[in-house]
Amino acid sequence: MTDTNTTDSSVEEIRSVGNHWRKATLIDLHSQSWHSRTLVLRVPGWTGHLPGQHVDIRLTAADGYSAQRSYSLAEPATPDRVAVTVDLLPHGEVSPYLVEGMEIGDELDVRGPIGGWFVWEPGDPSIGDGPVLLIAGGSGVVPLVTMLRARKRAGDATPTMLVYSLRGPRDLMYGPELEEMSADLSAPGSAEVRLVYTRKIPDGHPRPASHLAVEDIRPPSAWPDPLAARVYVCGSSGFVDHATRLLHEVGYPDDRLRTERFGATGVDR
Amino acid sequence: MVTISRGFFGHHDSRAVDLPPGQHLTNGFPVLTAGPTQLISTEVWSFTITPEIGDPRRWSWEEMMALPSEEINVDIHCVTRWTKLGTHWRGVALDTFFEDIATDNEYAMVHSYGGYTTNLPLEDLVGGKAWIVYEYEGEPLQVEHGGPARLLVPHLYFWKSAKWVKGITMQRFDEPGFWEGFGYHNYGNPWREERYAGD
Repeated sequence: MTDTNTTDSSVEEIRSVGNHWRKATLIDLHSQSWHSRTLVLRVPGWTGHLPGQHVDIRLTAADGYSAQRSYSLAEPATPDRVAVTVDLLPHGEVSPYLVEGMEIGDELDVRGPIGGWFVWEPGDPSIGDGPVLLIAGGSGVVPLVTMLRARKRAGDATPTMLVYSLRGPRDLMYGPELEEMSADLSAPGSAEVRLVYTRKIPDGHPRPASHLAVEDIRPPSAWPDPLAARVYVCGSSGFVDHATRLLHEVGYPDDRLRTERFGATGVDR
Repeated sequence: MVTISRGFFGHHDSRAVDLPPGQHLTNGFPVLTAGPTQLISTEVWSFTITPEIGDPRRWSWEEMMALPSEEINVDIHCVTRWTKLGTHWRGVALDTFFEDIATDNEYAMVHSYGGYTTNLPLEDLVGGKAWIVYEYEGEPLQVEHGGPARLLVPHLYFWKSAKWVKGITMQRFDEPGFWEGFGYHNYGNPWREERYAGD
């Protein structure tokens, strides 16, 4: 829980949630890892959102039974368009349909955008010139990549680093895009990306497999300031607590941290 | 308007017949927190009620433990759509804390260690509807679930049940707390599905 005195200009805009359900049609699919994929939906009337916000998804069966879940928005705002990247939860109720069942032309309902705390708008005055540190655990990378995409689209030059913790190579989401984004750090929209494999590394990866450590989140030498003006951490609750301990060790005060946790500590049905 | 999703059947969990609309069951206990977990020892923990007139009333951990406690067996509903059935807590009813408090104000702002806030009408905190709890399933409340002590207001969405609770300030006027200021519903009744502002 965080300091509530820090408000930003986006609060008023997002105070009223797009309050009704809208029909959404699947128009595109991209596989992201062996157990996740991106779904692109055409949603007439969707007016936009901020990077980091969520959308509620409602699936309804032919007999009227319905189930709802929240997902992070996977792209910066485009009118009439919503994208989510969904990780398969074994024995889940909604994610198997979204990751394995749904086909182009199929429909569902969406509502949103939702949330106004875990957001980054390029030009946010409370971030100033940055830098910004993004720390992802597993599929927690999704809203952070949306932030990177928005930053690139806006030509925002805030120095930014993504530290992405994942189990092994087959769990990597957005691999080619992250590689391109970090290939030439002098190119506009580029960001340093550190992949932290916890169990298995791909051939030639310089860092041995181990959990996120203090060295992984230390600032790149090019940063003008050793501490980021803002840190976003997204992942499971255990990951967020671990990363927060490391950030405290590096010297970050709580008011620079924004965190988002997902998932259940047990089996989420 | 409801859209049928071709090929979706759902789980039709037979235990889930009496859930609030839009909720599903979880067997785990998911954690949702706006910021870092707060580490507060019982030595420094205290709970303070601040009325509009007179001095604030403060209870240390030992003073709270000396108050009559009760077992609470309730279902809890999170706005992120999970419901957990039959959770067991131990704590002190807010009625007990409010016995000596004189207030004419109808609104309360709950404050937590770390700066989190949430607003409720006073009538939702008294009358056997809310507690300060410090045990969960027979064990001391774990820090990620708000230990050493949190508010428990099970008839509202769980963001109202503030973790690491530190005090309540009485207010003449209603004001939004943390999530209420970020587009979530001001009251949060799960049975009326009051998730977001305007619901």
